[in-house]
Amino acid sequence: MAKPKPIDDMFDKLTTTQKMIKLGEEMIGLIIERTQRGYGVNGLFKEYSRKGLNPYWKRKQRGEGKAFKGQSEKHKPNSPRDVNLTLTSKMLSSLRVKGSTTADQVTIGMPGTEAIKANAQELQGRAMSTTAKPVTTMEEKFIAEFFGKEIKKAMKDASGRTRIVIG
Amino acid sequence: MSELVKFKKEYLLMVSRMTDQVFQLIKAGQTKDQILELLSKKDFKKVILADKEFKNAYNALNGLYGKALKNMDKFADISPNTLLAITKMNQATFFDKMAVDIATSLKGNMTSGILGGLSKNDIINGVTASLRPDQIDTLVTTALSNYTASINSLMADKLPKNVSYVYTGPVDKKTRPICLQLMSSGQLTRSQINGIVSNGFIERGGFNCRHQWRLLTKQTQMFDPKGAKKEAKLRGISLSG
Repeated sequence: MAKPKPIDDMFDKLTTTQKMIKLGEEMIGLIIERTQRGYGVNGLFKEYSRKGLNPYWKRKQRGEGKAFKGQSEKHKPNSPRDVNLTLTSKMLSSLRVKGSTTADQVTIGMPGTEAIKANAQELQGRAMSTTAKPVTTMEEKFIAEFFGKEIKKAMKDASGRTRIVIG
Repeated sequence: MSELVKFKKEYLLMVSRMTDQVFQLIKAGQTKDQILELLSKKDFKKVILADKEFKNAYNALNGLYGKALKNMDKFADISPNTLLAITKMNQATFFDKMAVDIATSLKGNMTSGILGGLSKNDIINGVTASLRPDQIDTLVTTALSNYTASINSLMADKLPKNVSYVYTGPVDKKTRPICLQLMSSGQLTRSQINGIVSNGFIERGGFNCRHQWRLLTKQTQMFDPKGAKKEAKLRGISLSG
């Protein structure tokens, strides 16, 4: 049986389209990592409301009730500032390479039901990615450096077309 | 109103309609024995699948497959015939399972209800308690999730056979033993995954599973094989097989 090999280790043998799929997967990883650290594409996420006797962040911390069924224990907030957009992790896990990946374009996004949740967060000042600004400048640089000249060129060719679809 | 909300509403109405039909028999003077005999002979699944209103609601639910298809990962082109075949197979499996579940619940609750002399509302409550509308949510979301996963699996054919996937998602006390096993297994090819659990690449941990298979890259998140092993040890779960 074939031994599993990370896609990184077979990079040189991949077709350009397969490389673009890998680029999309890397971008997803970067977005999830940043989001769970509490940073959106425009900087720190807006903190949870402190209003009321039983604000959302406290209920999320306690994890009581039907709304928190399947909650990820590790992502419970310690304070209203602890925003990671992770309840069960289904929304972030649903980020996928989608659309027809070609040699010069890769699109990442999430299914409709999860995109609704992401959009609701965006409207509340917690955008993990937007059409206008899919990834941060640092992420763009990191990806370009990481993939080297070939993909850098592909990204350049795709400039203005590489997009992240939310919704 | 969404397709799923409509479907759940129709489910409740159908339960009410069918219970009502049985109570019409009581009103018409049928004895308990006669009704019980009728219930035992009746093919509930057939009746459910023939219910016009319910059929309309689940035809509308079929539209969700189209939406899921629109939003799924698409690594490469798949022939329309293959897509159609997968869609039809998934729909048939899902509705068949749904009809069997509803039929079992209806038959069981009606029989025990008639025997126990329960009221119509008590029987309806019994049926909806044994197959709650929120459980229908789970059935539908899991069916759709498996559907997109089966398409993804097809598209993963376009990647090298020995490319490694890892199981990502939370590790905590709610994580199922099978999910702990899959995550603690580390890097696996698609065929190795399906060797551990039959159809594991698509079905993962089962209903409402919070995990996903991802290509392993240096940026892969929520992949914690050590944590999975630790959690399994803590709960006394054997990961050997």
